Amino acid sequence: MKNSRFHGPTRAVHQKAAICLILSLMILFVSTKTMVRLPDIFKGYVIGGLQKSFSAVSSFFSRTVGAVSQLRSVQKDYELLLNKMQDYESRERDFAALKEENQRLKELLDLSSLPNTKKMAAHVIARDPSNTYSSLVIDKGYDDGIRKYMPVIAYQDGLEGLVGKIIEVKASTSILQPLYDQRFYAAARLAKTRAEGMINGEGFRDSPLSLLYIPKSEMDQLKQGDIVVTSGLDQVFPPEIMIGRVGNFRLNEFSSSLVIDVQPAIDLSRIEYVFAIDVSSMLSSGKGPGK
Amino acid sequence: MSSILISSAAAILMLFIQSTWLSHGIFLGIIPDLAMSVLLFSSFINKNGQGIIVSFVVGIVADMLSASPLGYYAFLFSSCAYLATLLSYTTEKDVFIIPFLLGTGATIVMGFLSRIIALVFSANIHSYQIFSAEFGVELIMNGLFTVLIFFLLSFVQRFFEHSPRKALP
Repeated sequence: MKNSRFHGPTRAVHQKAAICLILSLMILFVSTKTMVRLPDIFKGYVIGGLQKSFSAVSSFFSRTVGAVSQLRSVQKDYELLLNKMQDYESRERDFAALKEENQRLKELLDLSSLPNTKKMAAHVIARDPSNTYSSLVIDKGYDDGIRKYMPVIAYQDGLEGLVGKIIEVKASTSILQPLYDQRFYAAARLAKTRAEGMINGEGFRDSPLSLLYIPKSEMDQLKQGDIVVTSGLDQVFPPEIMIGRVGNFRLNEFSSSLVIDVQPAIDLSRIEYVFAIDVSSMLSSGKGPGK
Repeated sequence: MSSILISSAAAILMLFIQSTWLSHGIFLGIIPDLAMSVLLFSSFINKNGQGIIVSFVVGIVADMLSASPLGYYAFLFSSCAYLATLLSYTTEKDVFIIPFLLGTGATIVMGFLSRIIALVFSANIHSYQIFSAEFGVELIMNGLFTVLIFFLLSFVQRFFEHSPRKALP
């Protein structure tokens, strides 16, 4: 038998390539127009289930490793803890008093800007396998009440901040588009001056967001650290959800608007739990998007 | 047939690993494209074009895992596999240079093809930001991980290789 490396590729190779490429382009053409129902069902039940399984295996191993290392340190800590016990007993009385005070303050402050809305907690179980798309996968889907274009927020370090929106809903999982995605847009405004613009992601988790279309007349009042919130004018996101803080800003020559970098309020690299907001529950209270 | 299944399973496994265990990235939040490395390996060692079919199948699965439209990764992976198969006729596999060039080359090809797809199809398609620092990191990372994948899979190459039935005497 002759060694194939002395010959060029056979006609069959070109045929296989042509079939695969044409087929993928045809699928791409169809899928960009309308989603085929069958792949959706497959995605919802099989792919979603597999992602959950992988996530569960990962968390099992991380918990096991964590438990073993904890056991090692328990022996050392035990003796130290005995000594500290008496000290803590005296502090416990102070703690109880502080706890009561903290509870009262929480009720007074009511930090959430969306107090009377239905929020569905979800766990981030996976991310997009590639770097081009930056979507996150959560463990709640259609069966749990998640719907397409629901806004998603999170709480981190005592702050409530925008995370993104739901772009694809399957039976038990959903895909959310984070605000750093290159195709993410939301109506935003500067909390201090109320100037309106539009927030857009840069495509990378560590890159700042861009606040576009803020008039250059705002330049004198603008300061680093100013808060940027949603304006609600896009009819998708409720108003007054914190997006982030102003970083660097500049005025391009011959441009009527500023280019403002915004540092997101939520660090999406360490996000674990998010809350999808049921906007329909807000409409009845008169605080929905656009209100 | 079994080699197609094994190659597909290995690449799909890599996709799941990328989306879960490696979801936070390795450096600067960049995820190495391990699935693509496996597909390049399959395409390079099978001169009969088997790797192209495997890449198409794995691409469809990647589209289902991702927010991308169906057919996006099928096209990108199939194109890279086709080029890797063509390259296998002109050069031999070595330990470092060829796998590294395949990994980086495939990333560049995917970068340019994604731009073309984004131009031709609807506005909701993302493309690689080929002039960003992150793309440079991804380029090097994919090159290095392809070297590693080629090295590891060379120990089990016979499972990935198409073995035609022996001709009758």
